[in-house]
Amino acid sequence: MRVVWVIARNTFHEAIRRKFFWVIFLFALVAIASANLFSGIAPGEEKKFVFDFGLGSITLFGMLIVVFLGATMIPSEVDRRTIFTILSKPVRRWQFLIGKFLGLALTTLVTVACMGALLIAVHSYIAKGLDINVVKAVVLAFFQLLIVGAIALAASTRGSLAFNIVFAVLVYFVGAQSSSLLTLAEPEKHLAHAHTQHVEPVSWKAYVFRGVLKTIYWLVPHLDNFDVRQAIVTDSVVPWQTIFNCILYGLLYCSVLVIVAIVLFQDQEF
Amino acid sequence: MSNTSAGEVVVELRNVRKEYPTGWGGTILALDDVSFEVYRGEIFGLVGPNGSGKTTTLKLILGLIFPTSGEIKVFDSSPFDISVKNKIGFLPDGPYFYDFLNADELLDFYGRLFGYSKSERKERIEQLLDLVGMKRFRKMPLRNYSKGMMQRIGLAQALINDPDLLLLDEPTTGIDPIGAHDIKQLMLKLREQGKTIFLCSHLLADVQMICDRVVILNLGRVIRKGTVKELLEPTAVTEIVAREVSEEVFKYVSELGATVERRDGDVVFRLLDHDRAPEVIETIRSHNGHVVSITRLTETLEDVFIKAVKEAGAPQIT
Ligand SMILES: Nc1ncnc2c1ncn2[C@@H]1O[C@H](COP(=O)(O)OP(=O)(O)OP(=O)(O)O)[C@@H](O)[C@H]1O
Ligand SMILES: [Mg+2]
Repeated sequence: MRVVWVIARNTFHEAIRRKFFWVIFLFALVAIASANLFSGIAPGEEKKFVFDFGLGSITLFGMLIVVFLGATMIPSEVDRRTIFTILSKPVRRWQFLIGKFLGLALTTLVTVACMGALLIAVHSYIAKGLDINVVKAVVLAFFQLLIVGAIALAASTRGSLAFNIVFAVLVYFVGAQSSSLLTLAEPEKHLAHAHTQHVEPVSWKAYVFRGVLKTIYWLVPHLDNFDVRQAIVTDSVVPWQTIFNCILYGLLYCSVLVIVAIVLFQDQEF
Repeated sequence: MSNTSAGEVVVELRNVRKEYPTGWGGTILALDDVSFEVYRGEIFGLVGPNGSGKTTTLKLILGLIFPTSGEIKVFDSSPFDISVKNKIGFLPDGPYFYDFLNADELLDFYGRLFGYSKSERKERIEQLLDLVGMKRFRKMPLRNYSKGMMQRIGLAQALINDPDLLLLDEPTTGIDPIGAHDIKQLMLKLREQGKTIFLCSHLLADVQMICDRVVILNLGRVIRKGTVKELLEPTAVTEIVAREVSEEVFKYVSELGATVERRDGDVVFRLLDHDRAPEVIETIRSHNGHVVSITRLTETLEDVFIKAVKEAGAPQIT
């Protein structure tokens, strides 16, 4: 555990000393802070605009940070050959990998916490009071980003940098639309009310296509569950149960990814 | 020189073969049936031309890569046994470290990996920075280091756990002559303390000077191994330089199997069999000749290396 923590701490330190991290981070803070300047675009809807714009910024800039850090983490250790000296010390490969993941998680946590705190402050100022839903949305955004980071990290134990970045972003977008995958794969279920008269026999091509879609649906993270913007914009309450489920799901999903990454990393040669 | 022949085996390779995959199902054969052992308390030299498999051997010993076949033992354990790593120090070839750290922070990071307490780390770092002559640069970020400075910090990092086995890949490349000299002295000092040193190097004069035993690799195969003495002894000749040597002596000495050569009015006899030297000297003297000098000459490790590699077929540079 000590070794894991030493690696995680070092990973965090490295991340926050990178130039690109600060560029994106400061950009995000500026964007969130200036959200209420733009809120005039939607008169009467300032609160909603600030929230939407702010959360969008957190997700977008957070994603840039997390994907780039995650995807470069292992390859940069290998390219710079720092991994030689670390793995010739009493450090097990899985400890190194978990340390890297926790370092990434810590960086994400600090980044989202800062951006989130700013958003909450700006939003509270405009709304003249704290809206707990905004806090909930920020918490969910963190876990969403954590999953995307874990995907980038797991992919980076194999595969090239460009591939890993594209892959992680792609999974994010597919994941954010995962329920529509299911709608495509099971049109009968979802459209049943509209066309109850007769169900067309499914051709084998469509059958294979639906199978593939369903598999993808089960593999990608169901990130649309994390998206509570709709609920908040329509002023409905996001139940704590939903938040709790999402956190649990996020932690489980990340654990599986880290285990996959460890397996992929175990027989790598350096 | 320490007596190592009967010592405890620290590193052992048995019929090790290593193929690197090269995409599309091809392979590069980096090591082919390599066997040797390294004994406790010796400085062991692994030499060979570029690409002969030295770094590959080190990586196998460290468990960074996996052998295709054969067996590797370090302190009688597998290279993947984590407890073994507590007793090992490694300096890679052309080392590179987290360049956002300075020397203090870097060594502290490595010290933490071994679980040393704060005071232990502090003390150790003080000693090591002194040892590698980097105290002045301890607060400078590594990204501003020169090659030799990086190498020195690499050496400090390898010594952080006071290792019993020190694996060094080209430790003196990029280091100035004084630094290189210091590093050689350090290796000798560590040997005195009973440490084992595994040295990969192209500097054959250094290897000849400080190593107890040497393995020469070529194209992934062991082409010579033994103590430095064993490698050089067969090449030894006794050279006797004499003056005013009569024809009779000439004839006699030639019959003993010596070669004769004239050099600036002196006569140089070269004898393969050292035991015959007193006889030759006696003959010269009894025929009123003067013996100017008697020298025992061996080839250098470099000569032996070049011959061995040529014999085995050097990779052609075209
Ligand atoms: N990661 C790798 N993938 C494929 N081939 C490799 C890899 N590493 C080394 N090789 C090949 O293995 C052989 C041995 O390489 P190695 O690095 O062990 O040589 P070396 O003796 O250390 O050379 P040098 O004196 O230049 O340091 C070379 O033919 C090299 O091309
Ligand atoms: Mg090498």
